[in-house]
Amino acid sequence: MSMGVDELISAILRLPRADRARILDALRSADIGAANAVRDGAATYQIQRSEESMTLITLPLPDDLADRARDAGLLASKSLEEILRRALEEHYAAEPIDVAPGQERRLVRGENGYLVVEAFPGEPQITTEEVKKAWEDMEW
Amino acid sequence: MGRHGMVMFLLDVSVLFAALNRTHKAHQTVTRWLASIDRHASCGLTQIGTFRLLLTPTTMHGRPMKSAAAHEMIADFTGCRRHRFVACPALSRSTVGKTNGHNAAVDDYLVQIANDAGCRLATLDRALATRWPERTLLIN
Repeated sequence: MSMGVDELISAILRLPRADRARILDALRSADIGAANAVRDGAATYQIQRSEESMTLITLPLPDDLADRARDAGLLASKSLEEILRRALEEHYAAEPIDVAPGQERRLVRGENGYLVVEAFPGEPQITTEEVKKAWEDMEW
Repeated sequence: MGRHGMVMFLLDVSVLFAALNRTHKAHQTVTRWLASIDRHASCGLTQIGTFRLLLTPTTMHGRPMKSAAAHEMIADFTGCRRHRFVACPALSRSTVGKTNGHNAAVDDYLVQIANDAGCRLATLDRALATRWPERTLLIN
């Protein structure tokens, strides 16, 4: 499996909130050496916190991740976390786009037990006034 | 029994959309309010209105839901034991017959639907609640 950075981000966005947080933790801990180890050794990258007894995360990563990241300049001076954070900011500042595979909104059980649609991380809120305008602008 | 006793509330489109969408600014407010009441209702007009908003790119920040998912969510919400479906009657002279302009026509019809079904209309729309103070409840 080979994925570009944008595809990696898309894959991360599709994960539940808790999993996304764990991955950000993992990325925070990642460094060039770890990425090189991925390239040199295996397609699986494991992180184990010293204060905890169990392995927290096993992330299957593309074999050429380190090469792709280095080619893109990602490993030069910026952390992966910074790169991903900036990518996410740009992602949500972008013009609306059509739904593509993998971008579907998730349904989750809300506080009252019924299904609700999940917001994307960092997504701006919509107001009653905006909804009212959309409702009034609808063609019947 | 909630603080509103056994009153049943017809949820207008603004309330139903906010209840189902975590992106909505009033989602938490509506969620807490729903937990405090005993019975709520929808009609064909509010269901299809909410359904359309969930499929509308502008209200969903460029990532509208797919029809099957939107239907699943509305069916799940309206399938709970505290929910009732109410029919849409013929237009009445005393409500729609007094409406003030085309933008208010649908809202005033919802007031009529609620009244005919023995409900109050729950809304996030202050203007609507101001126009019909005895027949509506403004959630804020």
